[in-house]
Amino acid sequence: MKQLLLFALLLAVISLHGQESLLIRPTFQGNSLVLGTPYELANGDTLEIHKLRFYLSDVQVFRGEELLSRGVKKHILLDASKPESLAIILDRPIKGGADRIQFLLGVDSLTSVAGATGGDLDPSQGMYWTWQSGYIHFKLEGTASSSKARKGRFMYHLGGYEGPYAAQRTISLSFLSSQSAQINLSIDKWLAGIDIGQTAQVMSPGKLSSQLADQLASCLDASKKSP
Amino acid sequence: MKYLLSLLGSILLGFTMVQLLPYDVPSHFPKPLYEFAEGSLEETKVQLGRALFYDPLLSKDGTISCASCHSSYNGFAHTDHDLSHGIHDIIGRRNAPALFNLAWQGSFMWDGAVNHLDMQALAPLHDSTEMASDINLVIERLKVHPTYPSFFQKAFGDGEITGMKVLKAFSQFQLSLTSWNAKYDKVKAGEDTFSPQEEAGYQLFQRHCNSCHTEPLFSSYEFANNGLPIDKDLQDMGRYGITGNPVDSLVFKIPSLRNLSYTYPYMHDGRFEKLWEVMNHYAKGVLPSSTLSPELKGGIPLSSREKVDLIAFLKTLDDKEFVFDKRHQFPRDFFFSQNQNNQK
Repeated sequence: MKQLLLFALLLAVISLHGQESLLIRPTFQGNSLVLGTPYELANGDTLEIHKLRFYLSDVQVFRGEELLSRGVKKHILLDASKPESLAIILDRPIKGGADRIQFLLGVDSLTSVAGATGGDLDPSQGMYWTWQSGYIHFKLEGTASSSKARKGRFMYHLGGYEGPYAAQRTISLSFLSSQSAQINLSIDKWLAGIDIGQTAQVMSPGKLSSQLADQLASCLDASKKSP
Repeated sequence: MKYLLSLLGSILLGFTMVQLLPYDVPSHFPKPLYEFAEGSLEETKVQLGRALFYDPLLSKDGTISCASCHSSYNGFAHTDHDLSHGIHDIIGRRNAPALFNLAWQGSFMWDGAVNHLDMQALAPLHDSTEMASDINLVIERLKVHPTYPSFFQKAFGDGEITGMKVLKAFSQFQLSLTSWNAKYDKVKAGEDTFSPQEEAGYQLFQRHCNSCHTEPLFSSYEFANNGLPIDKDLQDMGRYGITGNPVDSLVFKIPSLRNLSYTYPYMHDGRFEKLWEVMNHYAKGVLPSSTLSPELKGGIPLSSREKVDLIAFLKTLDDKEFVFDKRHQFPRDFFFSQNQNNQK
């Protein structure tokens, strides 16, 4: 029994020592996004974000072509309402000249057709479409004064894993310095590309959701360490 | 170290010891598409899935179960309704399909909206015209239920109830619904012979039907437009609604021809009650369109005699052993012992 305890302790120490986390930071107008806070946009629109959830898959950190570290979990569900979910746990520390991070924003097509899975991919997470198979890669919901939908709501669910409207995106970002182990996702920049008054809902794969996924890719950066 | 290893070993064994059910696929069948985690079915998971399949707690108001539309006596289709009925007697837009040989199917629903058997149950569970429920609602109800938590413990080695486990249990039960004991199968195994009329029907089948309703499953499980005029009320465009691709307009999943005596009415909207009507459709009712299956251009020329022969052959695909198999029926023991527990 003693041996078993020792073994377990050793395992715990090894795994803790080898881990480092990488923070994904959703931002709004340059500051960390706060859910439920009214923001005023340049066009006079007032807007609140209520829900922000998305998947990252196959997180990999490189120095040149050398793979330094990868996400401990293959698929990670990030949820702005759960700060701990925004820290990606890596299998090895990435100090030592890491210059690039790569990941899939969303869930890959192979996993999308592989049947029921647990944990972050469990369909009870509310990130799976039931009327047409597939994960919701990215979900943003809130209210805006410009929305013509009921109660001023807007809902953007980007999904679809195959064909011309697949919405998962491979993202590669350069680090400016090895210190900036943080990735910013600018929500206001993304929303600037959507006319909420015209389109308050995107909830199926199509041209628009695919376009919005492209725009999302350009709202991520790892180049500066934000305050 | 040796001691430690044996300890770990016995813990692992304790967790992985499962009673496997044989999945003795007959030699004239291809290999299943479904990837079994344990290489076969697991008895306790099948029984858990069976209990869930017959349990109305799944639906929002606790009134209907999967079996409400998928009756074991009808090959797990429904013979009274052309379109499926949901909670509050809401009538749906499609005919509940028969459930068997699901391990050979790569997509589900008449329009192929679902890409894996595991995920299929989510569709009727959440559809507002069917069970109008939610996987999280089901999990909450199961967690506080007197018998399900220990059932999950037994089936999965730990008692936590998750969406994945509910779905895996459903798959296990549905995978146990295999139909391969029809007269046709016995003929293939050399244990029986076709009558001259059945043999004549078989020849016709091979000439006219086999390209879509491919032996031995009697479906390629692909999609096709079989020339049905659109129902003006339903305006169902089939697979086009999923892919948005014009080539999928009026295209539906090809159903198996096994167990037709039990699974009427036929077609995605249940428009035909009798096999005669189906024969007449293919003989002279096929509507030309740009997406019509090329095999059906001009219809299938069938004389009255040939229709009779073809139907005689189709009846050899009825699998009584499957349709009346007690192992697939309402699990009395589970629901009755549960009542006794509640009364204590």
